[in-house]
Amino acid sequence: MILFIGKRLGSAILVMFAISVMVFLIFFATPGVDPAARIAGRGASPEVLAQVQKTFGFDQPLPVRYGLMMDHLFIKQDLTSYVNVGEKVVPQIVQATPVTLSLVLGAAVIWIVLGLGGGLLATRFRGTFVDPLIMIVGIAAVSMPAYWVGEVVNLITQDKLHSTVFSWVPSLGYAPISDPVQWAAHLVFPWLTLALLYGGIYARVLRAELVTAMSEDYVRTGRAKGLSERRILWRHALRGSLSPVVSLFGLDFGSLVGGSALLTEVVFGLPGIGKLTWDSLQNLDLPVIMACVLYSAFFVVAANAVVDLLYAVIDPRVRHA
Amino acid sequence: MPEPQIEETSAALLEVDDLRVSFRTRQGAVGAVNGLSFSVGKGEVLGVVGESGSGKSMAMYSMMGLLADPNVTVTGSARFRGQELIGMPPKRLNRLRGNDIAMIFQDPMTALTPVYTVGWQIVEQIRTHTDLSREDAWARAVELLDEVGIPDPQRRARSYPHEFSGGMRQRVMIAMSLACNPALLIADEPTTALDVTTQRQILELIRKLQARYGSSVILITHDMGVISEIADRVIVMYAGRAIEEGDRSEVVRRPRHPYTWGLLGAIPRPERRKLPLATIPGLPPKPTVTTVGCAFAPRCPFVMDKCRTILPPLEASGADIDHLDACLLPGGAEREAIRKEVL
Repeated sequence: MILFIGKRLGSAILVMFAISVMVFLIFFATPGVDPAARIAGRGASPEVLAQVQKTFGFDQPLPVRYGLMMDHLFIKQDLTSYVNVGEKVVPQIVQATPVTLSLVLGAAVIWIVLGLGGGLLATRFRGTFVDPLIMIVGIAAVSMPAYWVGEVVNLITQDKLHSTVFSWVPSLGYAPISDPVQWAAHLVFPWLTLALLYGGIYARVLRAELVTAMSEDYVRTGRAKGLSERRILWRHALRGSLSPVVSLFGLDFGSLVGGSALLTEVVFGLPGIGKLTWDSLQNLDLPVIMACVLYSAFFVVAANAVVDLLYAVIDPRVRHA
Repeated sequence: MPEPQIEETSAALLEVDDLRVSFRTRQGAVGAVNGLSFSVGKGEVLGVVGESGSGKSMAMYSMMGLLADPNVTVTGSARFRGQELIGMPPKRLNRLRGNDIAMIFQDPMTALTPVYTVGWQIVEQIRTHTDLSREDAWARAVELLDEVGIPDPQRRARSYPHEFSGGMRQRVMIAMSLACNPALLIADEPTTALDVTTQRQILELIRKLQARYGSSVILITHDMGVISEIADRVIVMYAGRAIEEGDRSEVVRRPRHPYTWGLLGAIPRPERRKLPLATIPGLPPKPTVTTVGCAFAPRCPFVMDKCRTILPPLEASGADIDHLDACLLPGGAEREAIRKEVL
């Protein structure tokens, strides 16, 4: 098991290195494009261009340039945006990260509870009206786009019913976790909005897995052993059915933290990574874009590594693979 | 656990009477078991033999409440120590299953939950039915694994099912089924998924443990060879009915139903190796087709006109009154003469 963990983490680091090289090449070694002009931004003066040439070492060979870039990003952390002159890149990301993490982590807790609960309930009450009801609610949740749900939620909580039921809801935006009550009050509706979509998907996936598992031979063995249906469902069927849910979670969590929560962030005015990426794309702010891409790749890779480790915990057959 | 005292009067451990299992399908109700009656005595090994689809496994699953499908209807009676199993509420059934009646299944590859160690699964079985502590149950599990011939049981109890071979996994299943000293062990084709040498070891193991624990065994198989090795009494099933029943030596030496002749003829024998292997022509009837008369009639080389209209009752037709068969051919010595032509 320890060997497995070591191998998996080692390969994650390798993948991250490869991604950083690829991102670097795409941004700075694409033929026919002058990266210095790109970094300097539209209509930059010759002095700025010269400065860019020097800081990024464009007169030096490619590997040295890669090293310089990583030095600016990770060690000196002084990579500077030339579009918003003087704005350091790394602090922007450091500032946006807790916003996105708060949003996604909170939503993840809710959607896992909703998804697992929905899937288990639907399986337990298969053959009754409960099962199709949960599945219909699930598909409805999946079908509603987050930005639309978000706007409707805002309309109700910020406007229509703000004077009565939802008077406690603060105005849009983010409050740091140092004040937990305000933090949660700001985030509760973004959480629910984001969790609705994923909870629906997870409930459906888990139900499908559980229904398959409940017709497995080992479930019949469980019944022949005299185990209760509840124990068979929770201890035997659920364990094996979790693997696909966990891998789905890894992908979703990684990409959401990496910026895919953009729509929710924009609708609820949360200055997170998605919003930052979006803004930098609008301005063609190359250093920020690159940093965002690397950051998001980091989370996707890390989430997948964690998923693989969880897989090994859930299913002993994986450990020896 | 205190044993209930009420049922010890009856000689038979399990009495099945007119058991019927039918499935609701688009084509209407389909009978998988069509009126099966038999009994199992204490310490007896009953072999149930028949082709795939003859309803032998279905009959056992229906008694054990393992057919959870809402489209299945089970009627008739199956009394275990006098308690009616058919329609028993799940809570009461769960006190019997795994405790008084244990089962092992055909495919040991899939019958164990892949994500738990075999020791864990045996402990689960023990602790479901007894008040043993975790440590005591674990010790008992190791003891059981040792008893079924798993080498190094202390260590192997911590292994997962995928780390065992097929035969070893079936041994684990047997160990688990014996965990609570069941009065009745139902073995559903326990050797079918195993290779020949392993088959023999597993049969010997079942036989040995049966003698040691004094359990009754219902052994389901499609292999006449398996039956002739370990059964005390044999039921031959065809199309959801028993068509022959009797002591093992009677059924194997003096079979009375043409279908049994076919089954026995299909066992390869060294002295007949130059001859082509005998088979029963045709296929078992589709359960969707309801037959009037004998279900074996379309495949029977001795078929008569009345076979297609009269359903032959299961009754003694020869000297041994415990040897029953469901065939309209003339009884007694005449039947023996017909048999000698083919077998």
